[in-house]
Amino acid sequence: MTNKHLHHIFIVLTAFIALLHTSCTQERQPCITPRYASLLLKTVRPSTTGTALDTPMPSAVFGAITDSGTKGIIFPQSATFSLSLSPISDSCRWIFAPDTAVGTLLDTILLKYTRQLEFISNACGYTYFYSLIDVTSTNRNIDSIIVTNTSVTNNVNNSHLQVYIRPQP
Amino acid sequence: MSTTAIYRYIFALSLSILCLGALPALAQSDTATNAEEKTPDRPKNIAGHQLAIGFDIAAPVRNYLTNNKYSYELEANYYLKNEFYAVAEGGWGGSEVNFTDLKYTTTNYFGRVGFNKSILYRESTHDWDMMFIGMRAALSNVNRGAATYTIIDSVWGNQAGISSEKSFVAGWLEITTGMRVELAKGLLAGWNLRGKFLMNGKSFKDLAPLNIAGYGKGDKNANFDFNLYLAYAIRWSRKTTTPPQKAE
Repeated sequence: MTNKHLHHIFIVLTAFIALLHTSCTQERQPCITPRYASLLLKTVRPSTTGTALDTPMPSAVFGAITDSGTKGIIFPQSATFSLSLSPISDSCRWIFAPDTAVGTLLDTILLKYTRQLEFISNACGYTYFYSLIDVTSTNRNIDSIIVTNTSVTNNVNNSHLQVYIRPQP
Repeated sequence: MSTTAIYRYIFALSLSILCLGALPALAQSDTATNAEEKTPDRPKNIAGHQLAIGFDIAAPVRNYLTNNKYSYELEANYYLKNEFYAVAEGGWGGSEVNFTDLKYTTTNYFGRVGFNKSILYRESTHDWDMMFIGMRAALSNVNRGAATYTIIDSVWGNQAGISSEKSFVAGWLEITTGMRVELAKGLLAGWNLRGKFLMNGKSFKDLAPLNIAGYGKGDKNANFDFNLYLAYAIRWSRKTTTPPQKAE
């Protein structure tokens, strides 16, 4: 390879790479991981063999009891629900009804936990992960609650609570 | 096409060109092997000493085009022998993160040491053009100012806080390829493509800097980068000693 060829390659590649390098510089990458920790709750009933059987709720209502009032979410028929925990205190309360029908009794679920500040990435910023300490509830529709996983992170595949629903009269 | 994919493509392209560039040398090597009796061995260390000092002229352009980070970079290389060059590089820079939910600044100095190995056949003692491959070990001290953050939560309300300032060391290894051509007597220009691999990424779990001058994105374990150098070379002759003649 002669010096002349090398000079040509130098000029072409320099221009090409410099152009690409400049055009590809982005200020902030998009956040591609879940930004918030989610508490996954399953509604179940005991089967005849004693195992927990997923039990879809016809139209479940969950409401976060916040300082500025109750903020409700109505879910379509499902046995799995994703809730958030309060990042501004070490406990929070959700109200729950299995159906939107008039007269359906409400239960209150009290969750106590510790918070850990987590840096996800520059694209996503900071968030809180949680460690569940205790979960209690009233017993109008809910029979009992079992904590299956205490670590609430942004891993959306982990289930944390099994909520045993009372049999309908 | 993602940025990483583009960089990989460029890297592959560059390596391919390097291989193409090396082919004539290889071919010549084979020919030389076949005709070993006819041609004398190529003399080693035919070139003299060269010390080249330069700076990255692409950095000021990048600084002008991006408003949230800056860096400056210098390099020095010295020709050892057998087409090996000892290389020392260094620089400084900083960045400012000013997102709605995250704000902080960083500054850092960095240094690298390593070598380049020219893979082109030297045409004469005055031929300092080269395509090369090389390796580097790099260290940087990074100072991050206090970071203010806001966790945005539409249900429970936003939570703001401050992560205190922190200093830490970043270490990484690099493989590099590039070329240098002599534009005028003693004036060299050329570029480096670099693949950089962070060795202590776990140190940044707390808050990885958006940008570390000399390395790139602090929250990535691997980065690719490009430098365009302009350098001035000073040269002097190599002392040669005549091997003692054996008595007949």
